[in-house]
Amino acid sequence: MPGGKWAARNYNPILPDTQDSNIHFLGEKILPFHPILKDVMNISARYLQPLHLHATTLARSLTHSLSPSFFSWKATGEPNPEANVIAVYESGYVLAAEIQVNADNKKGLVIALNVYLPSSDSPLNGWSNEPGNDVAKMFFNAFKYALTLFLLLAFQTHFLLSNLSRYAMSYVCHQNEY
Amino acid sequence: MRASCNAFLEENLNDHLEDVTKILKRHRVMFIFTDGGMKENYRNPLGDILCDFVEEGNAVIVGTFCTVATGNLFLLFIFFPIKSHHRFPHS
Repeated sequence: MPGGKWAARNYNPILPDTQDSNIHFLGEKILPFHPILKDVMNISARYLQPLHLHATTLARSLTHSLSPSFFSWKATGEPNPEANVIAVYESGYVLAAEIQVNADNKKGLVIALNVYLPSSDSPLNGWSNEPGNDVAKMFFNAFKYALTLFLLLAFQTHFLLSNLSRYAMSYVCHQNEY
Repeated sequence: MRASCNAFLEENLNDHLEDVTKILKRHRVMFIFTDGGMKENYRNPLGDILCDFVEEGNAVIVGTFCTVATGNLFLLFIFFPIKSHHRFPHS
């Protein structure tokens, strides 16, 4: 995990710990209406180990009985007490969590998505990109959520500034009438 | 998008961190994923950079295995480009 000031200020939504490879699926949605979970019905973060794939392919050609070995790599740390846990795996491990950062009147955001990143579309062969697996949707929602917060802040600032300038203009016009 | 591995970082750590800092100045959202934990010589300066980034009002999305304790095989950064001249008025 990143160290330095990041660790000192406790910005990691999931506390550092070991990793786990058992297959887990989406469990409880702690914040079911959170934008990150929009249309996310199932998460199956299966990771197909390349070495096992080769061994299995060879074995399968010989025996026609073995199936590929799937893993589901994830971090096993407890949620940070400062974080909002959004969803957990059915095993209880954190699936998604966020920390809102407030520093010098600026609002930052840290989101943890506890999924091994590459999909089965890549050579690293991570989570299986198949119908009914909403990992991609969750990633997309997280990016959209992060960007929307900035757009919202920008809109609020724009609205505030335009109202202030309108008020200033009316004040100037009012003064000029006298 | 940036990807780095141990061998690269051993020889180019300072240049790499400088690059990351420069790139982050032009972006709002950063995704970081590691195929393992991070080495001590890398995790501390990167932590300082990420901390400054979120405290400036930006977002970091952390994927597996950024939260495990040790090891390091591969790092992948994905940046969402919003150029500096498109920065929003609150920044």
